[in-house]
Order: sequence, then C-alpha cells, then structure tokens
Amino acid sequence: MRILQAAEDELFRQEVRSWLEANVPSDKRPHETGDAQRDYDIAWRRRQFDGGWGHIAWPVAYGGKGLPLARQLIWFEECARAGAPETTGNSFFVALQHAGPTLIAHGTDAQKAFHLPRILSGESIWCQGFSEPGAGSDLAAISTRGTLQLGQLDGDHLVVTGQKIWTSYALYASYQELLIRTDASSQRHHGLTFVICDMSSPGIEVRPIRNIAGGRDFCEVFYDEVKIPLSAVVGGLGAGWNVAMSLLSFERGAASFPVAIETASRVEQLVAYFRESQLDAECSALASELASVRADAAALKAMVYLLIARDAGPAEGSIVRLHLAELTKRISALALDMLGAHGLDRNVLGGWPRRYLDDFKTTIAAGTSQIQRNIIGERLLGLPKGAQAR
Amino acid sequence: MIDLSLSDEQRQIADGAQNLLQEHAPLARLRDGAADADLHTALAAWGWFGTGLKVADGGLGLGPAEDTLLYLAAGRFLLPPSVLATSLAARISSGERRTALLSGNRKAAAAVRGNGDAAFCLDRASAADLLVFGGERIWLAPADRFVGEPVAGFDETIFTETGKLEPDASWPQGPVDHALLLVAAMLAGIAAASSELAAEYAKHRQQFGQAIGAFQAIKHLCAELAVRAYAAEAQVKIAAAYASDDPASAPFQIRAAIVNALAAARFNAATAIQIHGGIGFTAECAVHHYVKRTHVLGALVGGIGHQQAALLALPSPVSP
Repeated sequence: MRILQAAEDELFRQEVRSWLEANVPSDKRPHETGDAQRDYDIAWRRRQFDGGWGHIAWPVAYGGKGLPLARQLIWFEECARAGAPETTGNSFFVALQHAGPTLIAHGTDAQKAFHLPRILSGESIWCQGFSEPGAGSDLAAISTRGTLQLGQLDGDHLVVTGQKIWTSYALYASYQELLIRTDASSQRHHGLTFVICDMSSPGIEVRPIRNIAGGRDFCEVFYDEVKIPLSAVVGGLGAGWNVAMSLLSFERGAASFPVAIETASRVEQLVAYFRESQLDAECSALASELASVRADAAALKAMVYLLIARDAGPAEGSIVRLHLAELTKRISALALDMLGAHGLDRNVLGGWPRRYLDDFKTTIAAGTSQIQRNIIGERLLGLPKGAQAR
Repeated sequence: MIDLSLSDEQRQIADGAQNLLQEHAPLARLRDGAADADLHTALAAWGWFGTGLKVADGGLGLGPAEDTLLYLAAGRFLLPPSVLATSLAARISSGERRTALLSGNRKAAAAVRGNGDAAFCLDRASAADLLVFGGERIWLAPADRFVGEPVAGFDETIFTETGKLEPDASWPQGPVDHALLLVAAMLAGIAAASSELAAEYAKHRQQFGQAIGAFQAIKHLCAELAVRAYAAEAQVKIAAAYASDDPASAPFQIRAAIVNALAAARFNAATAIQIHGGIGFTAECAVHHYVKRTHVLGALVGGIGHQQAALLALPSPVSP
C-alpha cells in the first residue's frame, strides 16, 4: 500500500506525455460505424507503432516495448489525460486485449511471430467467434463443426461448417479467434478446438446486424466448408476450452485496465459539464448520482490496482468486470438525464446519447452480468451450483 | 506507481490487529452485552492508538496506510467509536494528555454536532475527553463540557446522550480528513464482514432440498455484496496510500472512499439481513449490529448527502 514516485517512472511518463501531445489526432473519431471509423482506428494504431509505442508490455521481439505492467498503466493514464482515442469500442480491441494476450500465452512461435507484429502495426484487425445462435451464455453448447482432413495435397487441415453470431468487427477483421467442435462425439466443453481463422478464406460469409445504437459493427458469420490449416490451431486439438477460458480471463481481467482509466476520465467530463451548466441549482438528484458515480469510478480504478496487487485467480477479474459494466451503464444514463432536451441529438457533447444506447452491450458482452455473478458466487464465494447449471 | 499490495510490515500489522481483536473483541461479546472495559488497555498495550504517530510524539512512527489497516479490522470487529475517538484525540492533542491517551489511561468518546446547537455523545461514561465531529473539523473537548441526557440509542451497544456542546476556540482541533479515512476503513470492514456472513449463511442454510446459495436469487445478491466490498476496500486502500505518500492528492481519494464505503456498508449490511431471512431479523444474529453501526459512523461524518456534496465540490484529480 504505497505510491512509489520513482524517477524512472516519472521520466517515462514525461516521455509518453510529450509524444502524445504531438501525436494524438486532432480530429475526432467518426461517430458512425463504417470504413471511415475503421480507417481512423488503423491510422491511430499505425501512428503509435511507427512512433515506437506499438505496445508497452508485449515482448520486444513482437514489436512491443517489453516493459512492466506499471508502465502500461502509466501509458493508459496519459492516453486518457491527452484525450487519445479510447480503447473501448475501437476496432483493435479484440486484437490487443484478448487475441494478442492469448497467443502470447498459448500460441506457437510461428503464430506469435506472424500475428503479433501485424496487430501492433495496424495490419490485422481481429474478431471473436465464440457465440452461436444456440450458444450464448451457455458457451459449451457450441456446435460449429471442424472435421479433420489429413494427407491432403494442400496440407492437413480442418473443414469448418456452422455459424457464429455477435461478432464485432467481422466485416473488417483479417483474423478471428474461433472456437469449434472438432470431436463430433464430444459433449459440452470437451472436444473443442481454438483456431485462428483467416477471414478471407473461401466459404466465409459475413452479414452485418444493425444494433440498437445504429451501428453495424457486429455480425453473423457463416462457415461453409472453410478450410483452416492445422498450423492455425492454438493450444492443440481438443484443448479449445482451456484456451477459450484463458482468453476470457484476459477479456474480463486485463482488458478492464484501460477501460477503467477511461471511464474515470469520462466521469470528470460530466463533472465539468455539470458545473458549466449549473445543473446543481436544478436537481439535487443529479448531483447525488454524479457524486456517487464519481466515487464508484475512482473505486473502479482502485479495484484494478487491488486486482494487480492480489494477483489472484481469474474469478476476481469478474468482480472488476461486473462493477465496470454496471457502472458504465449508470454513467451514460446519468449523462442522458443531465443533457435533458440536448440529448435528443445522439452526437451531442462527444456522443453521450449514442453511448447510452451502445452501453447496453456492456452488461451482455464478455459474459452477461448474470453469468459474472454466477462466476463470483460459485468460484470466489464457494456457493453451490444450481440444478440448471451443469 | 500505485502498489496496493501489503509490505511485510503492513502484513504483520494487519494480521496482528486481526489476532488482537479476535482475542479481545470477538463479535459474540456484543450479544452478551458489550464488555469492552479492558479493550482500551489491551489496544494501548499493543500500540494501537499511536500507530500512525511519530516516534517523537510517542507513536510507532508509521503512517495513515498502517492506521487504515487497523481500522479495516476495527470495522469488522465493531470496535466502539471511543476507540476511533481516542486514536484521533491522540493525533490532535499534546503533552501529558497525549501520553495518557496513548497509554490507555485516558479515554476519548466520540461526539457529533447535529442541527442547531444539538450534540450527541457516544459512550461518554468513562471518557475524560470528547472527540467532536463538526463537519470539516474535528475538535478535542473536555468531556465535562457536554451537558445532556440519555436517549434510546440507535445502536444499543453504545450509550447515547443528547445535549449541548458549544465549540470553544481554545480546544485543540484539526482537519477532518484523517478521521474520514479511518471511518471509511471501518465502513469498508463492515461491508466485507457483512458480505462474508451472508455468503457463509447461504452456503449452509438448506431449503427446497439444497443450500440457498445455489439459487441465483441469493447467489447473485451475494456476488453483488462481494463486488461492493471489494470496491470499498480498494478505494480505502488507495486513499490510504495517497494519504501516506502523496498528501496533495489525498483529499479527493478520501472523499471518494467515504462516499463509496458509506453506500457499500449500508447496502451490504441491509442485504445481509435479507439473505439471512427470519434469523437475520433476530438479535441472535450479528448482522443487525453492522446495520446499526453503519448509521452511527455515517452520522459522525455528516451523512452521505454531505459527503457527496463535498466530493462533487473538489477539482478533478490530476495525474501525478
């Protein structure tokens, strides 16, 4: 329990700060999903990579700086301070926050050497292929099949047929983290395999789904005898569930770090707006809720530091993830209340009304709040499983 | 760099406090009628009241971070407000008075000013001093300056009086921040203990042929309590770290801690009663003490509305 003010950290912070001041894009990210938004994300990623800031923590061999987590957090804090484009809802979120860390943990040397630099340089956008129409919260129910074909002229591969859904960025993604059933006789979490799917493979069809915020960034993906080479398997045939759980621990754990810092920074925007608009004269209920979310956003950041300090199992990540998800929705709902009639324009004040609609996803994606509560109850508190959860 | 892990010394202090209170202040004492008579002596002998004071001032030479660890435990074990009052009194007093407070020979009781000139005193009986919570300041008054009469205490383990107490400019005084930090720590301790009691009960109580914790209606409440307890503990710890090492940034973090902890303790203790069902409504079960103490501690610091307004009035925290 201490704040260490190390001179090297301070130097690093200053270096980051000067670079960001000179390089954060002056134009804002387009509100509407589409090519312009994707191109904006790619340009920002390239600029970071070219400036030597591809990744603070990833190994040097793959284009990162190989620095400790503390430096990574300084980077996130400085990005929020400088008003840099957020990691939340960015086209590279999947690639940076879960595909990359999963490859670092489970990928082959060849997979790491090929994919990690391409993520950092902005060459590859990634998407996630976990959920299916019949397998949402019950992920182990997935039925997309991969049939092993050995001794072919074009090499050993899996032939994949089935459907995935809720696949964000699928239209723009070069690669997908894809979970399939490779043992036809297997049940539940057995017989699954995690593969890297090249989204340009023949037999893949992507259909965008319009979401409630008007975005078209999440999709259905159909696979009709798609050939995936065995060299794209991560963690071994049949070991997919373990790799997927490891991925989810990144998605529910470390992926919260930048988001927590950005969330606290966004609450400060609302505090500034509250003062400028003199809303306190109007309604003490708004003031009360604003103070409450200010305290909860501060606590969210503190929870990240506590999570790191405790270095505990993945279920503790669900505590931070659940607090983050529920708080995110409270914050944008408060923003909408504060805006009053101004909220009739979706894009007003940095797009808070649009964000309010978009934020409905936060308690659904990466495991619904209800699933997170099951995880916390069963794995952290040791409560028994219910009859319905096998 | 923010490091919320405990150093070896901090770990020893946290464990030591836990063991000390397990021995001298087990929760069961509250059901049997508060027997805290020897508690001050035992705490003083351990060095409790001077933990955060300089060695030159008769303390152990540690800081707000270590004090906070003690008060996280104090919340769990529901130490009486006079313990908090004595720690704070030792901070703002001097000379022989401080020496006596540190040694356990002299006790301070907590008092708080309400609307107008009304004031409330908690456990004044054997106290020589009053530690008065007066909004943004704390004051140290002689106990006989309070004139009042007993009321039906909201928390029956605390002898409560109402009366009058006019502040005197000559009384030692100080800013409220350190008091807020320790109160927030006690509330975070209450939030954690309530969460643990509820989960433990949900694991063992059988209905419909299974432990009630298997039902999502109960399981999800238990998860919610765990999240709030985690948030409160995290924010209290980061506030304590700032208070120790970067005092300029501490006021924001401390206000965020008290706002968060007040809400967490209230929700967790009240929900823990609900999870216990009928037994939770009885004095047999310890949970009601957490509900009552949360209200007492909240009253000392002016309540959640006052603290929310104070938090909202502060400028945005700056990156280091």
